[in-house]
Amino acid sequence: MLIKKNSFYDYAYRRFRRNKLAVIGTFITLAFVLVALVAPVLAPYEPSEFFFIEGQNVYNKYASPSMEHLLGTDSLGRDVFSRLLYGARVTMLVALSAVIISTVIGTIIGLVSGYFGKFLDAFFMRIVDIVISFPVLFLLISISTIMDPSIWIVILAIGLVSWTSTARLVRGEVLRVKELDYIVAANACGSSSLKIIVKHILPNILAPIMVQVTIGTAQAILMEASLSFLGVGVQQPTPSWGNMLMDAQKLLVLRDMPWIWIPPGMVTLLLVLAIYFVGDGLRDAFDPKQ
Amino acid sequence: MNTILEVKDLSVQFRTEEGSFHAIEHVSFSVQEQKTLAIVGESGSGKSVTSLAIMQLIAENGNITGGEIFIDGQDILKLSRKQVQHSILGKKISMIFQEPMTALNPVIRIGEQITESILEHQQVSKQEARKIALDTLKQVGIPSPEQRMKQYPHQLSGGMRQRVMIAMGLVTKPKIMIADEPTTALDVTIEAQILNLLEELKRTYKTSILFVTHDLNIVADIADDVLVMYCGEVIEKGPVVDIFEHPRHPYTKGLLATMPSLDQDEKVLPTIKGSVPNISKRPQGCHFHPRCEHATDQCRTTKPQTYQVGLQTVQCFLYAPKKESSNA
Amino acid sequence: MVKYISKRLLVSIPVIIGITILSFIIMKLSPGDPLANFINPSINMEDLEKSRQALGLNDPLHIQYVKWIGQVIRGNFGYTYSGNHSIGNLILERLPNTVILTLSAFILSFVVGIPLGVIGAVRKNTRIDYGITLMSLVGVAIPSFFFGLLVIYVFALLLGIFPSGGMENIRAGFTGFAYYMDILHHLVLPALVLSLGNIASVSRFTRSNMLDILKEDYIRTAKAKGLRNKAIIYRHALRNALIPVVTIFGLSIPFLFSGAYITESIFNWPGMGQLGIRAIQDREYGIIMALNLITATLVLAGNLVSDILYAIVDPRIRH
Repeated sequence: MLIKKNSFYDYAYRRFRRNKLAVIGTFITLAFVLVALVAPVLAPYEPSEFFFIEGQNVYNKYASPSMEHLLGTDSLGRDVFSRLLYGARVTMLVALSAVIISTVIGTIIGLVSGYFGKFLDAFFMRIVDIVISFPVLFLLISISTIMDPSIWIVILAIGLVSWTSTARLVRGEVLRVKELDYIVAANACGSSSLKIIVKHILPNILAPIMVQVTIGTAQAILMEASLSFLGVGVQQPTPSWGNMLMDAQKLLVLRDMPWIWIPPGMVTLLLVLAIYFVGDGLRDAFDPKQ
Repeated sequence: MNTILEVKDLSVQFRTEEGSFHAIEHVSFSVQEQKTLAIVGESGSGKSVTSLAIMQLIAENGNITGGEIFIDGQDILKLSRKQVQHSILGKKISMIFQEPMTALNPVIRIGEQITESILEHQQVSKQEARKIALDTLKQVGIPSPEQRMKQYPHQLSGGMRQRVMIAMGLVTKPKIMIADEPTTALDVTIEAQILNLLEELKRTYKTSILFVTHDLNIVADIADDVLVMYCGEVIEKGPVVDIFEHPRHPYTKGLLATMPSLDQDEKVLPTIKGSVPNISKRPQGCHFHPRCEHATDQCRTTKPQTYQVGLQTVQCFLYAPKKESSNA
Repeated sequence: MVKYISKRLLVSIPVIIGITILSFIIMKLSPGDPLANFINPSINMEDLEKSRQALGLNDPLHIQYVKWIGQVIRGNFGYTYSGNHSIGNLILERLPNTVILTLSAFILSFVVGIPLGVIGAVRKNTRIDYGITLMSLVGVAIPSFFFGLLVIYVFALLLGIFPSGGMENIRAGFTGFAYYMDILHHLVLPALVLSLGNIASVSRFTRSNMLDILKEDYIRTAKAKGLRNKAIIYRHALRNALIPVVTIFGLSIPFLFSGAYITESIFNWPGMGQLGIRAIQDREYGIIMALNLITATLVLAGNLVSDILYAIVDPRIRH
């Protein structure tokens, strides 16, 4: 076991395990990750494969669910179930990469602001103020309309707009931890700033960062879905749960073909909900007051 | 003389992640009309839990597992939560807390915090309640009470806030007031003023006081009777003079010896060796035995009974009748 | 308090400058440079070069920025590519509709969210609490466009209780009271969709605040005074718990504007968000940039107001 017995993380782990919702959330999330990994094995067809009505040169559009197509086909005659499975890969890839970007940026800026204070702090916090003044979606849309939308631009855009909450959180935690006696002592003993930050401060603020990463992942999934739904995120033919719902803006699809839009919506909801359960569970487990 | 508060065999248990523990066990005592009883003990002795249990204010993970609490002749543990709220708390018994900083609501004006008590428990109009509040504030020595009524707690000094707390406790003329370390957070000069005020108010309002403290100097000043607690148990009780002149329990003796006094010129204060054990690791037998010079095998295995010595009762085998005769 | 407010105002000066700089940078990076749209397209070729000169499109960047700011302050956001519509006017036409929608959602968030949070805290660990907690988690976890589609599917298409989109029934030609009732009828679903996430966060925030406050010493004091539960919860706890909720006022503004983009486009609500979505489709960068700048400024103002409000409701800062 990596966790030392009776350490802070050991207690947190035990508290986490007792939290039913958090455990359920963890299993659901892991199940989704698994599905994303083995999507090519599970999927009956290629995600962008077009199907024709037998014996005719006509796309098999809007087919109802059948044994052949478990969740029917979409407006271009592609298998919805296969697209759903491949969509999981896109969603995970975008969310996790974006969270890595935002966490790295947010943590560095938060550490610098909190640890050095004064001008650097004022400067970075004003930047945060500026960025959060723009509604997230506006910035995302601006970034992805300036550049040609691709998965990488979507990842970059989400990473670049969502680091602010991590930065604020880390800054606050650093301010709290900085006053702890042994860090004051390490300072007095003349340890270098970098050493103090890496060896003493960072391990102390890891728990809240982990919570933030979890919640951030859930939010990134929602952002990607919104962008793709609006047509400025992941582009066709690559399937994403967000762009799979675009068709539902047509009244016909919305009213008569629920198999096209309800499954991608439901899986997004389920995955985000599961990750929130994990996040809430982690927060409670790490909170010594509980 | 009437007994205002009587506690019989009171036990309180707390559930924690490591298991359930008794914070206090078989605590019994009584407070007479217009008398002051001081409960003395170190932190963790159960003195605060005792007072909170009387007020039915123990934390969610704790509950009273046995005993009776009579206030003005009524066993309040037999009353419903609503009845206690309505006819006991704030009406027959009130409480002042240690931290006047945090015990007052920061966003409600002083005046409203005092008058709400009156309006809750007495059939009076708002104007009358306001007048009673003003009078009480004057009684507790607050200058220009009209202005103070309109202020918020943070605009007052620590001493003033504690006076407000006292006024809040007295405004309904309760039979007894619990004061839980009411001066610990204050400067020494302010502390003396507050103690004098309590003395004076006890007479004007004809209330009894249950005074919880770790400070023996205060006890000597204000108490009529003393109750010494250790590890959730009453180990000695009796009139203040007897306890100070002839402490019986080795722990009480130790406590008194650690008291600095002006007429002694020892350079180093004596201390009691060891420290108060954690609630989850209380020793078997007499809880005090690991720190006690007189500990015998009996103390390590069996819990001593309480024995009467003059006006005092002591929970220690040193005073068991057999032993006493052999000593004499 | 005057000191607090003036300090707060001072801090927002660099922020508003930063907002304009960021908007300007995004604009310069956009394909085709929307700054060029400041030229009224109806003018002839000779004047065009003059206009370019006048606009300083050949000037160094910082001078361009200053000139641009000068235009923006006068309310000139340039013209659209297609047709010669003034972007400023286009947005101004749509602003009231967006305000109606976001304001309704804003009010709904707090009117519904706060009581839910209070009930959850007071009934902690009961079925009601678990129900509210689960509902608020679903509220923050559901993609708003999916919720919007579900709501249209159920309430407009299946049940037919509410219209599926638009802001008014033009064909009916209502006037007076009926006209306003018609708008209200159209408003219900989009306002519900837009506020759902916010209701959820407000109730979660209120609940956790309430729980913290209920552990405070002064609540113990109130209990010791023998006050009844209602007085303890509403007079002593809620007043304290609501103070930090004011900060959510500010935070929910950008959230609601973001949501308006999606909600307006799903419900065909003729507001700024729908204009923005059309602008994306038509590559009208000038409109996107103007919307960016205007909303960011509104958000900043909203934050400022909520900070000031915070100072007013909290006597510890007020005095």
